[in-house]
Order: sequence, then C-alpha cells, then structure tokens
Amino acid sequence: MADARTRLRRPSTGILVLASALGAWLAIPDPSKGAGLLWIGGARALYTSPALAFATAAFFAFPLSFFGFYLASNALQHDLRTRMAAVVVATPIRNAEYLLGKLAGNAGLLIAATFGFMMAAMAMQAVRGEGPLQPLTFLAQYALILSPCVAWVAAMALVVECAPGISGRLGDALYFFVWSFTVALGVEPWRKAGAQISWFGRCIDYTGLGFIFGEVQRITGTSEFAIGDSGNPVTKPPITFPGLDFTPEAMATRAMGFLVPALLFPLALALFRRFDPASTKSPRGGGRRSLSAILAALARPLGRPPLAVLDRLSPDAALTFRARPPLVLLAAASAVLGLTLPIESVRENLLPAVFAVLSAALADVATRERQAGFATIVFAAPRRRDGFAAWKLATAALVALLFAGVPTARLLITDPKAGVSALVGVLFLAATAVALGIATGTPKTFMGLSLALWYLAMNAKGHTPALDYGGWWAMATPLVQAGWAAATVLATVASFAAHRARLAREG
Amino acid sequence: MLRIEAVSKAFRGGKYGVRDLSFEARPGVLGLLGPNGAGKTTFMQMIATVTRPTAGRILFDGVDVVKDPEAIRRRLGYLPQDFGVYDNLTAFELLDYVARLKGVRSRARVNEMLQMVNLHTVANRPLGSFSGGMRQRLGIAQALVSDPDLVIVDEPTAGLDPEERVRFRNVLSDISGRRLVILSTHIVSDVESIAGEIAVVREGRLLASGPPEALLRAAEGSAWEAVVSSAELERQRAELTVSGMVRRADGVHLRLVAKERPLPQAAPVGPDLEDAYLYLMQSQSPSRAAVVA
Repeated sequence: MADARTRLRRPSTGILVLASALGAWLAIPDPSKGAGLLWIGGARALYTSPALAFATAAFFAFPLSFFGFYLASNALQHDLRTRMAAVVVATPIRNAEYLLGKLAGNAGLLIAATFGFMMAAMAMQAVRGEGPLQPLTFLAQYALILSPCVAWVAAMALVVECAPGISGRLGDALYFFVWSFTVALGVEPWRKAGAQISWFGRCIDYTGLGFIFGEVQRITGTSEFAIGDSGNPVTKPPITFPGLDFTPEAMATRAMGFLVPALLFPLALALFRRFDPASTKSPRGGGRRSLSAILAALARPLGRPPLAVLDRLSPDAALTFRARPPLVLLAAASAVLGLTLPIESVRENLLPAVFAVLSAALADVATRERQAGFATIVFAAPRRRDGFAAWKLATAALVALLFAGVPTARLLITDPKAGVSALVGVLFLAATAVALGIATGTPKTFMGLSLALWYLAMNAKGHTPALDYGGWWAMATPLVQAGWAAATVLATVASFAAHRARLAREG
Repeated sequence: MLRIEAVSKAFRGGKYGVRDLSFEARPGVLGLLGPNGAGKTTFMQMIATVTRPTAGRILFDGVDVVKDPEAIRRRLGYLPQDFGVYDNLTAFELLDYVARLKGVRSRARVNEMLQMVNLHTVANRPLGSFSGGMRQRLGIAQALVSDPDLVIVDEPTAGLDPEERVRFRNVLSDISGRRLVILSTHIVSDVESIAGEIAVVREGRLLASGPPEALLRAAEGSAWEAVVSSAELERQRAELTVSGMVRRADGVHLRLVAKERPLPQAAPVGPDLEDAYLYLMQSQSPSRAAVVA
C-alpha cells in the first residue's frame, strides 16, 4: 500500500496518466473524414464501445508492454536512493511481503496508465462515437486483453531489479531485446491461418496479439484485420464489431498469460538479497563479480591510454567511458568496423547497432550527477552550475561522435545523403538525451523513447522515409533531414530551458 | 576576506532558512555552530554559490559572489553535508575528475591529496567498497585539490569514528593558515580545538560571534555541577538545561547551565564551550545578535 501510495502521489504519475490520455486522443481518428481505427475485411468498424474498447486496448498493449517496463522498473532503486531500504530491511517484513508490495506498486502504476488511456478512449467515443457509451464493455475488453500484460511487465520490472548484475542500465537494454523477441514469439508467426494458438503461445502472449488474431478470425470469419488508419480509400460500408467474447476458452487462454508472471515472482524472490551490502560490496573492493563487473575489469586497462587523451579534451566525456569501461571497446570496434566493412553494411548494420548502443551510453550523461548525489559538488565548480546544459550537450555530442564518428564520416564521403542523415541522427540523440535527462532526472525516459524510435525505424526498413532518422536506409528526403535537424535544435533549446527551470525551482 | 551583509534566504510559504545574517571572517577556521535546522547548510550553500540569497550581499575579497559566482568558484573548495560518489569509479579516478573540473591537471596533485587524507593505499579501489569515513576523507580531498582560498565543510564529521574525527580536525587545522575554512557542525567538540572564531546561529539568525575565549567569558558563572538521585533525575532534566550527566555510586552527577544557582546543592564550575553554547541557546533571542569580543 505504501509503495502504491508513494508512486501514485508522484507528479510523474499524473503526467503519465495525461500522456496516456493524449495517446488515446491521437490514436482515434475522425470517422466523419472516412478514417477509422479498426478495419475488418477491408471495412471500417463502427465506433461502438465494443469496437473502440477492443481496438484501443489492442493498440495500447505495445506502449504498455514497452514503456511500462521503464516506468515501473524503479521501485527498489527508489528505496535505495532515498535510503529507505536500510530502514525497511531492519523491520520484520519478509522478503516476499516486501516484493509483493513492490509488484503491486508496479502493477498499480501500469493500471493507472491503462485507466487514463481507457478513460480518454471513452471520452473519444463520446466525441466521435457511433453508438452508446458502455463503460463496462470498455472495462471488460481492457481487462481481458491487457491484464496479463500488466502482470508480465510488473513482474519483469521486479525480476530485473532484483537480479544482481543486470539491474540498472544493462537490464534496461536487455529488456528491449527480450520484449522484441517475446512479442514476436507470442504471435507465433509460424502458426497456419485458422490454427489454434498453442499452449506455449498462450503463456508468452502477454500483449494478447496472438489471442486477438485467433478470436477476430473466429468471430468475423476473416483473418484480414488491422488497427490504425491505413489512409486507403474506403470501398466497403462500415460494419459492427461485437468485441471479444468471454467464452470459457477465451478466458482460459488469457488466464494462461498469468503463468509466466506467476513464475517470475519466485524468481525475483530467489534473486533478491534484501539490499545486503555484503552481496554488493567486496571487502577487497572490485564489486560483485557480476557480468558487468567482469567486463569492466577486463576493459579498464585497455581503456586507460585513450581515456588519458580524452581527459584533456573533456573529462566529462572520459567519465562516461570510465564509469562503463566496456564502452571503450564498443567505440573502438565501431571505428574499426566503420573503416573495414563494406559501405552498405556500415549503413544498414553497423549504424543501427551504434544507435542502439548510444541509447544506453548517452542516457545518463545529464542525470548521473544528481543520481549519484554528486550534483552539489559539481555545481560548486567553475562554470558548471550555470553552464550545465551547454557542458552536457558538448559531452553528449562528443561521446556520440566517438561511437558514430568513423562510420558517419565514411558515409559522408561515399554516400553524402545518408551521411547527412546519420550525422543529424547522432546529434539528435545527443541533444535529446540531455534534454530528457535534465527535464526528467532519470535516464530511463530517453532510453525507452530512443529504443522505441530505433525499433520503429528498424521495422519500417526505409519504407517510411520520415523514420529513417539515422540514414540507415538512405531514404530520408532533404525535408525529413531538415525535420530531424529542427528536432535537434528544439531538444538543444529544451535542454537550456529545462536546466534554467530546475535552477529556478531549487533556488 | 569574507563579508556577509544582511543575507537572507526566503523559501516558498514565507519561511526563512537564513535571515539578516551579517558578519565578517578572516583567514583561519570559522566554526559555524547551531542546532539542526538553524540554517547552517543554507548559509553555506549560499557562500558556495549552490543557491542564491534572496536578500543581502556576500563579498569575498571585495567581490560580490552573487553577481559574479565564478569569482569565488575558482577559489573555492566545498564539501557538502550529504554527497554521493560514482560507485564504479576508483578514488583516484573520481578525484582526478573533480580536479579537472576545477582546472587542475596535475596527477601529482591528485596523489598528494590522496596521501594527505590517507587514501593513497586504496586509490585504485572502487568507491562502492569505501566506508562512510573513507568517503568523507575523499570528500575533503576533492575540496582541497585545487588549493582553494576558501574551504567550506558542512557537517564533515557526521558518521566518523573518534579517531577519524580527530584526524579530520587536524587536517582542517593544518590547512587553515592563509585560508578561510568555514566548518559547520552541531557538535561543539569539532570546533573547540581548532576554531579561531565561532558563529552561533539559530532559526536562521546569528546569535553570537567571536573567538571561543570570548564566548567562554560571556558564559562565566553559568555552569554548575550538582549530584541528584535517580528518582529526581527525570524532573531535573525536564526543568533544567543539562549539558552532561554521569552516573556514579553516590548519585547522578549533572552538569547544568543556568544564569543563577539552579539547585541548592549546585556548585559553580568553569564553563566549557558546550556550556557556553547551551547558555547562548538559552538566553539569546534570535533577533538580537551578540558580537562577543
């Protein structure tokens, strides 16, 4: 209860609910202009409660399962940062009780976001609907489709935080790949049309996509359905979609989606060390021998010579690598591959990989001082308090160019159009990392959003030029490039504004 | 060297962290004493340019630090009350980083600082493995690495064991010389042996300032010792200001602070700095500061 209360009282939760509501407003286009949200067999489904509830819930599964992790996975870290962890663990509370509370807090946050989205969807039906508003129908469809998703994300966030060695940035990055993989698995792409979702699929299908495909086909007799406005001309009259059924089989299928989260909880319990410093600190120093610590120990000696040079240019950029020595190896690998790979491979394979790494490497450039409790010392140093935003923008740009500079430079020479896109994309990431870091105080916001953008761009494969922000597909037009450049400038200005606002708040 | 002119810091809701504070400080150690919530940290943050005063001036060698904060930052070493470190950096790496932020590029200087605070043997250990005392020592090292003219240390001995506290005080005393060291604490013994000047604050205002001897002279006749029974103890503690208490075979020996004889059996003793501090807390109104000379 205390955890849920703490989370729900935070201003960021209110912002989250509002953002979800805004998402619903943007997701439901105006049917009077021929647009639609749900298309079945080429026909637009009327905006009735069952159709809107179904479509918006199915749509929300993606942002909920992706962004929801980054929003929820802060529960244990928050207790550590506020030093409440030491107080809590000295009480009689059992580990299971404590973690259940955190799990409930995670779920509560996600349910609040879902509720905000649902309320906005209902409001949109009131504005653009084509049938009576049925709130209970919304509740039922959302519960059926999204409750395993909430359970999965809440449990995953808990497990990653409890797991030594992967809690933190590494866990955030790993989740992205786990999410990409499991979303695809849940749909069972190998399943033949008309075939039932397998037992395995039911357990892993937390987004409900696999379930939805099967149910829509069963209810409507067609496998041709889409959510979102295709922009294609409307050729068939609209239809009425009755929504998903609550047959025993449907409910049993979705209930199986709770199995993996249920198994994740005992895993979290087994991994949780109750904040025991002995499990995090070695008396002889060197930290726990987690994977990240081992990698850091291996990379540290190799990084010393180049970092000694970087120190003279930018101690803060050097700090980025010093705090995570494996980044030195990754930057070096990027430079070597940037020079040796065929240019098409540089563009289509190396640059996307570099952009993914930058999502992690840049995320805490503007937040690490505050998160480490070091900000006061830094602000007392010359030129740091008032010049913080400029300093961090320079650091982020330098770090980004150290990773992407060689492949980008090579692309600028051999394929200037793609090279310009790559350069703009790199600087966009740098500026956005700083702006979001200063504004939100956490690296997770930038990391989640940049990985989401990366995912969209990778899946678009250049078919949507506007998403070719990194020049990977050489499809961005000059207008698109100008748009991303403008976004970079906007993020840069936002960095200064956010820092000024923060200083004004803190006096 | 440092002149504070009617400095105030008002927060939202009309609360004041510091109100109309004025005094001057010269090179040496200035001890800033006061209870929790007195405004010591707010005051130090203003001098360190971490926060701005809402009224008044702070002049360091004639330069207004509010108008030109960079002027003091170039000559400042600051150890805040509560600070964190980057756990996965080594002591050397963190100190080197801070040194570079302050424009110091000499690695020899970094090593010298680590030697001074006795961390040279663990210079390559990650900070995540450091004890609280070790972190505090690293904190003073980072404050001194740029050879500052003004050193501000906010509650530096909190959490240190007795040996480390003595070592800390010795370091501060050694470095004071031509520098101004402002040491804020609510532990009187921290300043007793090293401060040349003491300023006592309460509720954001200056209660008194002057050399320790002057504070002691002002408290002359206010310290008493008396023996009471265990049965009387709770009542006496509720009614009187007790600066010390020792249980012995013949009863509880109390050290008391009062303007007049507090108990028939009380005998006058020479006050120490703790007695003088308590005497000030008891007798001075925050609106009327005493400059004790």
